[in-house]
Amino acid sequence: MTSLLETHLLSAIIFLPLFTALGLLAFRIVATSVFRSAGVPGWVWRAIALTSGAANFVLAAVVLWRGFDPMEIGYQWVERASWIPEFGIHYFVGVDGISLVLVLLTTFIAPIALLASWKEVEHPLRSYSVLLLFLETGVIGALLSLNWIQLYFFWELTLISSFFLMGRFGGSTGLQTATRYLLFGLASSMLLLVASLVVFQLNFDQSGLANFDLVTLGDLPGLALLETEIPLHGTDVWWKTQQVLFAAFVFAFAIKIPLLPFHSWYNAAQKDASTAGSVIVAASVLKLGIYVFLRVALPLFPTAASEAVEWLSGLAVFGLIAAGLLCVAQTDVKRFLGCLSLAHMGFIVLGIFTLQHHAVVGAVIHMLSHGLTIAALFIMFGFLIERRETHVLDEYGGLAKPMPIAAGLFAVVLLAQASVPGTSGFVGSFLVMLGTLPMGLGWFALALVGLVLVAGTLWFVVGRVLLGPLEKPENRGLIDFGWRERIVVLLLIVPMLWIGVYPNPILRRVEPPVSLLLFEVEQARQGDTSALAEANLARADRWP
Amino acid sequence: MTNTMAAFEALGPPGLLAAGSIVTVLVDAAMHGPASREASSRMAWVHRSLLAVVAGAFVSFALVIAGFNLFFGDRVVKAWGAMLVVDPVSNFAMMLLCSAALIVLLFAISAPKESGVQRGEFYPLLLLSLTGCVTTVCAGNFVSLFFAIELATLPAIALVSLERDRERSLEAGTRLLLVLGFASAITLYGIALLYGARGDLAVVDFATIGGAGEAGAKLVAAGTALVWVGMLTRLGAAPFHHWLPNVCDGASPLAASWASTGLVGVVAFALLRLGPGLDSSVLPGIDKVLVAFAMLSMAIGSVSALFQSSVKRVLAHGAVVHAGLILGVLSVEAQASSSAAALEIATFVVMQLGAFGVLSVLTRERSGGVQLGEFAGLAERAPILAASFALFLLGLAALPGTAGFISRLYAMQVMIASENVVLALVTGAATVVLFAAYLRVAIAMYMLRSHGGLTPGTPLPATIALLVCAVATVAFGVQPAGGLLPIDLLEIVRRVALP
Repeated sequence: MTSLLETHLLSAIIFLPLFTALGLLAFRIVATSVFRSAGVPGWVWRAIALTSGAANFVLAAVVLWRGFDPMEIGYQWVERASWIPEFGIHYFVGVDGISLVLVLLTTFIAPIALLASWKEVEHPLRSYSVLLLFLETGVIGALLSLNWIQLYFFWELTLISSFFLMGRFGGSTGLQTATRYLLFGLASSMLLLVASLVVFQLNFDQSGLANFDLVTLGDLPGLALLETEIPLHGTDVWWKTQQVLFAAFVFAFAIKIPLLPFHSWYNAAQKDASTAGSVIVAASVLKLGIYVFLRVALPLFPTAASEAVEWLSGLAVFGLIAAGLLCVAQTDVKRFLGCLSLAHMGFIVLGIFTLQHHAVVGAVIHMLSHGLTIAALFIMFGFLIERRETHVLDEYGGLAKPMPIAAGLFAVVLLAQASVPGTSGFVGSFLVMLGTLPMGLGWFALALVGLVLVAGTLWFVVGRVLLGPLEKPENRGLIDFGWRERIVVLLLIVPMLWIGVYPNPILRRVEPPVSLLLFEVEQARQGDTSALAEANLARADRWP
Repeated sequence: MTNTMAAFEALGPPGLLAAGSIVTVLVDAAMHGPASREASSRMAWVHRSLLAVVAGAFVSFALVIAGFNLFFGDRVVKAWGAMLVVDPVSNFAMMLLCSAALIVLLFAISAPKESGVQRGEFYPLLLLSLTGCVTTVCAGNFVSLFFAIELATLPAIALVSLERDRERSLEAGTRLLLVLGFASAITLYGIALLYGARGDLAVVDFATIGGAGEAGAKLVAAGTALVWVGMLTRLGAAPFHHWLPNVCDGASPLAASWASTGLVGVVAFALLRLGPGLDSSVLPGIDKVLVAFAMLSMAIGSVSALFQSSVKRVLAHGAVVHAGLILGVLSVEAQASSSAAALEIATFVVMQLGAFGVLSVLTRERSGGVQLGEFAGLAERAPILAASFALFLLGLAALPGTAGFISRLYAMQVMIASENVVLALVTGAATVVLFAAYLRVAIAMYMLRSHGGLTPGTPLPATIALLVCAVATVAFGVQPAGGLLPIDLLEIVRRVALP
């Protein structure tokens, strides 16, 4: 048993939620059709889903985290099996520092989201639990996939399951927005598929073997997708060039991440989703877009990416500042939080496109931190909405008086969200800001303005909610957070503070793969190893 | 002696099925007297079951022969001066069409008593149409091709208008008769021109100048164009596609399923043979024109599917998209294009049959349109039917994890490999729009409140047929290359590749 877990740990983490869900469904079909019974009640389903989520977190946090060797560069716990060899599709998973922290985040957030929506969703619990489990498998599978089509499979699984999650549990217009979300997602996936088929064809022309693997480890036959040489503009047919393919990738990811001005699906979706849906989408699914971009698009199109640095940084900064301004104008709680995530997505993407070592590491840490803080905010506002049943910001005010504990918890999360030193937000923001410096003071200043704008708006809004005058009579009798609610929020606050005070365990694991990635990008761009790339690699052991 | 042997071998499945249709006619006639005189329901049940069993036995036998030839006999048999050619392509097509007919039979015996399917004629007509289809895929000569296609079409027209007391059903039959009659006429003109110019009727390399010489080149060009127009009409490719949605909407679900899978699929297989014969020196730019037709079909089909209120029309427009897709794959110059087309046809036929089968069970084999609103809340009333319907619909729109995705991936890869990136992009876009169209049905089933619309039962034979389609859809979507499955679908379609 132990040895099986050792060789198939990643598969276990990916498929535990899926198999739990399928088991529940199979049990229900047998119970209803063979025994003519109604099956077990919905709360048992939720309890089983919660147990499975918690068990998955234990697998990820204890077995995977402890067994992961931070000193080793490259993928660990690799599993590879033949699946559809004709098309070069294999079952191929592996973990490195970047995916490790995001997997940890996802396995952590999923049970918490279920716990947080304990009261909000009461009907139909069965499909709710099953969909959440599907979604978890989709996100984790996509994070750990090392084969492009396999990644695509998992990605579509997240799309479809979050579509049903939003559509069924989203309120009156939930269906409409969920449909928009799904169609935007599918359209960008299709574009991505066509672009990657072009890369696949180039790879096939170069190696003579069909292979969708992103990397090759050991002496596997065939050329990995990321090792494909893609011609530059003017050297081949127009659509077989790095610039065009990179543009297609950027366009698809700008929709998926999303970046302003391609965000229309996201804002609407956030408004209508249930708490758990919002939490998982904001904390994990959005990160998935950035992660895949970092993992695939950068090494695939290094020259095009470095040519487009200024454009894309501009887009990211525009997203940051414009989303910050949008935040100011929001009157709806969930839309406000949605804009907040959009702004942070802009910031993270900016960190990646500096192509500076610190900034990319910072972007990864910021993904983690933003996942925690935005989840906490969605959950806490979700608790408030459960009590008042309104999304309108103006309806709240002066809540610190009836709800002192909630106010205290809000304050801590705000500190983290506003990147105050000692919280997780600080580490990521600081590193990203550090990375923008070499690009010029202008970028630094713009990023700073955006960050301050976002933090300021958040402080202002939450300040009004908590500290303003207690005008509405409905707010006077509000009951403070109960034990379940306190525990849920505290569970999220602990890692925020832990990362803020002692980020080294995470930095140590994120640094080597980032160095390697940037090294490869630089190497591919220049054709050989340059001093800059060496320097980036050398920084790997700065944090012991 | 060898010629006679070859003729017997080639005639195997078509001959069997022709014999089967005669036997079913006789059984029907023999049973019809007592059944109608006593009008006892038990006698009627025996009558129908006997017909179905006899028909099923003949189809299964033909299926086994084609399967045996595909898996164990690789050689190509030509009979009567290559009028009939039995090769991997035709064996694969025969297997597919016979399986499709078996599935239709399973749905047919589950249909309620009062439906037109339960008239005895259904079984011989289906078998006769299948005979035509099976002969078409073996045809190596324009005479046999024309004859076989007509044999496939005429019984199908009768099938479509089987509900003789329903206006919609008769209208659909008439429409099919007129449109496909025109298509036949146009094809026949083309064949006549080709024969006049070339002096032979072989399908192989039909669009080359051959012995026609300089003077005949224009005749060959005109003949080729006419043949293609006739075939594209039958395939349901835009802009010749209008008959398909109207016929499917008017006919009963099972007749519609045969019209949109059997009839369309067989033409797709015929094009698989005609396609490589294209010579752009005869008709300059013919490949580009075909690619344009393919893109037009995908665009028109998917966008129109989005705006239909009748679910049968949605499915029929989906068939137009697939016609475009198959045409697109066939008209690009790539090594794997016939394999990709064969895979596309096979997955399309299985999922489309499954979808129409669900409709047949749901509507109790009612002819005429089925409105989207009738599906509201179906998932609560009939969870298994709803789930399988959603699976077939989204599979047709290339949901990853279904066979539809694998075939779409293959098709798009072939398009990219042959440098047709615009075609690939149009395919991607059409797939997304089609997904949206099918999603409307899934949303109605899963997310809208029930108004007590369709209330189905699930008879056992229909359940078996649905299960077969669903398992094939998922199994070939997850394990297309064998692995846990005993069948390596990709290996089989690779064998279908034409030299």
